[in-house]
Amino acid sequence: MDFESKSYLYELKVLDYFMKTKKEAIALVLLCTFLTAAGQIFLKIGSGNLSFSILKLLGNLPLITGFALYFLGAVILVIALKHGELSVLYPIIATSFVWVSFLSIIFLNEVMNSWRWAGVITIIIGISLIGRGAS
Amino acid sequence: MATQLWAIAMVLFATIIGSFGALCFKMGSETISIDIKKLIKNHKLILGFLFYGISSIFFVISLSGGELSALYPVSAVSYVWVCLLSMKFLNEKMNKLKWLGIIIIIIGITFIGLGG
Repeated sequence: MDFESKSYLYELKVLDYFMKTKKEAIALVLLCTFLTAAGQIFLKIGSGNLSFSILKLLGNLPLITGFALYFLGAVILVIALKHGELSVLYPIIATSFVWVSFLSIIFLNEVMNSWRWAGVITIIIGISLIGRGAS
Repeated sequence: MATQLWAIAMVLFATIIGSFGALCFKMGSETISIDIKKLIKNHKLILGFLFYGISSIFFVISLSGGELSALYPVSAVSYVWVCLLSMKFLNEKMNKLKWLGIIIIIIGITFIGLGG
């Protein structure tokens, strides 16, 4: 066995060590949703002055930050997906709506109301059901 | 600002592309490593990022034609697409609890939209 494949196996073992159970995969998806939610807030701010000039797009810091957070969230999602069913882990991404609701209040001066609270609670119930339905 | 029809159609399109991105992510995740060279050769992973990126670009464009709160419920159909793709391509089993969970999540997202 050459050195490269040995180090490759070692890396896989390290990854497996950190994510032996599905619980850790779910925790990683939850982290991904928070990053995605923060990303969406930045994208919303950045979309306010959207233009089709490349230079202006590159200078649109909120937009760039939003995409960077999205990318980071995607990387974490991929690592999580290795350790669980897609049909279980993907719906958990809905947690981002819960984060977005709270972040919108803080950063976009939006107001929380009964509908939004109902939505947040309902989503959490739905995610719990999927967790219970996981094989 | 009223949400325009083209924005809703664009979000729907983004959910379809994004769902295939999720499928590619799952397929590509089976062989991930920290080795950059191997990551670049992981075509499914690259395709996943491509789909995911295109999906989010369409989502951003749609945001300029409607409110986040109105477009969210539309984007929730992606959970249905992903579960259907999981059944077809990954042989994952759906059960009543999982489908019920997805329906309840979609209702919850609609509530958030109504509250926006």
